[in-house]
Amino acid sequence: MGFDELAVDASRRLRHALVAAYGPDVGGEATADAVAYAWEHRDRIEAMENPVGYLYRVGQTAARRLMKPGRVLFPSVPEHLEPRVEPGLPAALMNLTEMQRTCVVLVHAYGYGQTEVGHLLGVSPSTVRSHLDRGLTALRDALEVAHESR
Amino acid sequence: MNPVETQVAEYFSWLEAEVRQPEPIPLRSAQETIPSGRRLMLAVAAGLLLIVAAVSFVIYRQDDVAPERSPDTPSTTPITTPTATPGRICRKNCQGRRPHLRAPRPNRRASPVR
Repeated sequence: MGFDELAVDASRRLRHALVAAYGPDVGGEATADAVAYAWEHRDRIEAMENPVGYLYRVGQTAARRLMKPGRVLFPSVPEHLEPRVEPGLPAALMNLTEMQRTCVVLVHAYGYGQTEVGHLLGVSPSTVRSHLDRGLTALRDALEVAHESR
Repeated sequence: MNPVETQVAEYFSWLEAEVRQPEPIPLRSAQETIPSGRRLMLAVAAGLLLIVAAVSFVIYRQDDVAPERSPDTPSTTPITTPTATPGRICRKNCQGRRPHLRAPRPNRRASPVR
């Protein structure tokens, strides 16, 4: 795979993962930083076994630099999505741990498999499953849908 | 109520659409933010303010400029103690005791020899 193809593929997956973790604004900026870093160090990145996993860490560092205390990561639910989507969903997502949020969103919003998420985040599929279960449980508790939809 | 998985999927599909295609602000609505009558009033007010500022500046400059005279030609007017010009407002608030304009320098060449 050439660098251009790698960059296109990596930037799409990176953006999904970073938006899942840090929201559209910070996640988008962090993706741009990670892709710029990949371009600057393309020889080294191309030779890596898991370049996207490495660039995810680069994006994480950039995102943590961009994060400010009290910053709202996810915009509020628009009126036309109610009542299908609970208005408390963005706040509930914010209360999850970064790993739980990333796993829940990558699997259920972007349709990634657990192995793929594990590869992207640099963890095992069983770890992903664990974070996913805990994240979903926390979301159900926060939105009080635990017993109705199970 | 929808399961949380569905809610997350629906919320993020909206978020993706929102991020990729931000709604452009129509030019017409941006122009209509200030109604046309109000725009006209603002323009007239700004124009008047500009005219008043220009007139004030010209008057201020005229007050400060002393009559020019070549240094070589001796003054034909007798040297007198300058007094306040009647009918003009002294900006130094001296109530007519001090000259309104800067006093002309005494002509040393025309002064009597000691």
